[in-house]
Amino acid sequence: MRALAAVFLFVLALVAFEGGCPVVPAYAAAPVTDTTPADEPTASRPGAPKLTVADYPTYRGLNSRLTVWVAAQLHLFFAAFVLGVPIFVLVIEFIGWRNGDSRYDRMAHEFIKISMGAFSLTATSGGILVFALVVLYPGLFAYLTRVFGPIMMLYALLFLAETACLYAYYYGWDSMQGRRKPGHMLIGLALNVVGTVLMGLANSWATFMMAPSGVDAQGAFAGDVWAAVAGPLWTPLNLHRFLANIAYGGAIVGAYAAYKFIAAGTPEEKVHYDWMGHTANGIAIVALLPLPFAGYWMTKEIYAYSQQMGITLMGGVFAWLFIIQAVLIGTIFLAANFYLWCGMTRFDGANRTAHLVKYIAGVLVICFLVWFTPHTLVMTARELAAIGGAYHPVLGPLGVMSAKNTAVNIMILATFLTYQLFRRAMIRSVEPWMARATRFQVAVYVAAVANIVWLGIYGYYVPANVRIGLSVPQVMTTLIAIVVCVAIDEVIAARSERIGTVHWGRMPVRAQYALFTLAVAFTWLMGLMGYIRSSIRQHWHVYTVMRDASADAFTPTIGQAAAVVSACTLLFFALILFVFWLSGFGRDRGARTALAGAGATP
Amino acid sequence: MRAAIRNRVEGLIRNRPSWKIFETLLYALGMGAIFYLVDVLSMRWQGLALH
Amino acid sequence: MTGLFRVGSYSVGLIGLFTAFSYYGIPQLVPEPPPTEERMTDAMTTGEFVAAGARLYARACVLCHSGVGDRAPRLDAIATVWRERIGDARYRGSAKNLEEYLRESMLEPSAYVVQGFGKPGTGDGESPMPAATTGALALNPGEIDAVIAHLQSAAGAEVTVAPRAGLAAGAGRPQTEAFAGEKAPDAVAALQKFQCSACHLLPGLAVEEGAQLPGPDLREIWKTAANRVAGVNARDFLAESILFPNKVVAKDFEPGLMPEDYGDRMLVAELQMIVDYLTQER
Repeated sequence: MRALAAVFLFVLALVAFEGGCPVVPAYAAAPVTDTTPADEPTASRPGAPKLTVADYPTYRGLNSRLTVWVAAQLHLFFAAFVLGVPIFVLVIEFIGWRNGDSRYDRMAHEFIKISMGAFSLTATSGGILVFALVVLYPGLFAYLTRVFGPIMMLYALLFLAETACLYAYYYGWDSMQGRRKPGHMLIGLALNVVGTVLMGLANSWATFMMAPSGVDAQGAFAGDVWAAVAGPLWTPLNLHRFLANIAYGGAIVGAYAAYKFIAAGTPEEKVHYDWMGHTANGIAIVALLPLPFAGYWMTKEIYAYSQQMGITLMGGVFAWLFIIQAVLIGTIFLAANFYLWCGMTRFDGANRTAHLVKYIAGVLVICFLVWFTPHTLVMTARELAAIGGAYHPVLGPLGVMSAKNTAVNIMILATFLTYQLFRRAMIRSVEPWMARATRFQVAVYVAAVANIVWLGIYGYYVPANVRIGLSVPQVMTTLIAIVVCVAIDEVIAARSERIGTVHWGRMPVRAQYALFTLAVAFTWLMGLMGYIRSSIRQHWHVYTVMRDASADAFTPTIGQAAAVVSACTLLFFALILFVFWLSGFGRDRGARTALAGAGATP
Repeated sequence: MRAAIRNRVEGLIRNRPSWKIFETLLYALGMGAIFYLVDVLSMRWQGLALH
Repeated sequence: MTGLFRVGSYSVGLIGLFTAFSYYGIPQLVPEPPPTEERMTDAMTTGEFVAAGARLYARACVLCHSGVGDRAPRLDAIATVWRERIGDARYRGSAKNLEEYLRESMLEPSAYVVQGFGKPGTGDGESPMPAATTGALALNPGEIDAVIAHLQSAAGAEVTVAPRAGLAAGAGRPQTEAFAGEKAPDAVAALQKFQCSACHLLPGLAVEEGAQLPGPDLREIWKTAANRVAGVNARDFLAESILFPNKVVAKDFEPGLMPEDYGDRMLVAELQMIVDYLTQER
């Protein structure tokens, strides 16, 4: 549990750091204007090309848009995985070093081993993506290289650093123990820094296409590549992807642990993979908690950059996609909580807090229903369609926002409560002040829920822009409640007795399916959100600057988009199962069987 | 029926909600005030007002 | 292996559930196709012009101006409220009538921001609406006129704009387009000016034998033009083919190759001459 608390506080520190940066950025409503007086692009500084359909090479049997879409999505799945895993591997390694507990070290080593096989698939899918862009969208790619040329070169060179760090980190693991451990962790830190920079550079291309900066209205590039990189959406996307990568990495290694648990031959293996699954689930949930905040920030920046794009995103055709998002996030929360409830069966005897689980389950289900039903009424999609048309705002983002935000914040609190109950089940408070502290924690939950619900109801009575702004106090309430309760719990846990033992390995199989649900839902959700991000550009390659004149410029229906996302998810899982299988080869199988059955501190 | 009700009422009186619940509610009120302050400040930070 | 199979089928099933929800749980709206520029010609009636404006309005403006969710002000009562707006102390523009006010609102939205609809933090000083000619809206001057016509008509006011295709008459019709060069003296000169023979075989112009041109042979179009589209006569068909080339694409020829901006570049008189020339019996 301390491990999780450390990961969480680390993540929180990052959020605070990023959040502390000027959140009201100095962006311009229009793209940065060129300093020279001429309105028109000049011969030496041409604008974005105006393409026609003839400028797009086509090949029989190959749908260009689909090719780039699948290649990009696969690349993002793998990249998220290989960037997220080293972050929590370093943290776990650090904890193991501080505790002197070699089990943490071995688990961290195993996590990084899983991501090794994925690393080359990341590069492969990246290569396919680049070639697909060069061959099928040469006009767009030429323009992007004109703007980002130096950045692309830097990106390519940094892969040398990434490879060097990763291989040194992984292959040096066993030999760099003892006195050399700090040096090994420094390599791990370097790996993470390089990985984060790589992600940041690549993010800038995506955000430039959505909200171009550093170019004028015709797309003429003035030469300041930093202005093109640091657009209004860049930092929000960096934060969002950084956090989401950690959560995603956790979910995928959780699936690995679940699979290995099901396939385990010996009780020792079951113990090992059960503990791994529990840790992975924890990482996924802890990193998931601040994500709504990052998402809110990103949407706020989109609205600020172009209210038209913002309204298209939340109020037009795309609004329906957020209903699907709600279903997926509800699934994720239910799966994670279900896993925790099953986890309580690891404890001896009657669980003192287990009876509360059904209430939490009830709360989660209600929130889920509120969230994925527009206007909080249960209406079938056909009824809604009968009411609305292409731009119908029944989904009226602004009308549903109040309910949605309220529900998601309650779900986060409910999940956190589950974690606390899980934790408390294993300890007995010995000191009298602890009972009072617990009452205080209950009070914090009650007050937090009341505040969130009140803000949600209040939102129905205020104008739209105030309503959107109410999300911030709701999230702040949730975060404060969590931080206060974690702090108190840590103190209580440190001074309490452990009662009974945790029987790692004693988990029902259905709990492993919950971990798989987590991994599949996370992947599918990522695919969906990636589609949304890309498609709100609609018929633009670079929004308002370079028009997409290809035959595939149309926006597909939601069903069609979902089908592609599903295909990408299936393809990814087929490949990742291959990676899991590869990681089974190796010499440290012996290490796992040496694990004792005694409970490891969660 | 009347006996059952009388038993129940007697049981409730015997096990009065203890001061612990009131204490918790008091903490909740205090935290509620803090959360309200958070609401006002975070709205003001965005340039909006909490009416 | 059975473990793999079970876990695999479960995952596939779950993915199937998500897909099924996306197909059957969500209305399958077909999004608007990418917009193409509307071309206004002076051959349009006011009704057609207003209808074109309505189409543009539905495509570009309704998302925000539908009146729901406080995104943007409603425009159905604009004929009555524009006077108060111009008289308001916060008005920074220079419009004197409804048409000018509408045009100014589209080209300089921040000249007057209706109470409560400004960008957050600007105290209604700055409008979140982009200028209609820029960015994602990107309306050309003719399209802007059409939208103004639609708004005037929908609000019950007199429609004071007409489709511009090179004729400037009367006040209130800004001439913002410059026409390249002077009017061609005759049909052949017009055909040469617009380089039609780059893609088409044309009557009376020299041809390279054996040249594979991307556009249909037009030397005998006078025979078939009247029969190409039901209810459309030869002259209208040819005019439409020049102004809206992708409406009807000849069999075995690629769409999207012929430039779509002849409506901007060609004078009405030039268009008439070309159509006359091509429909001449030979």
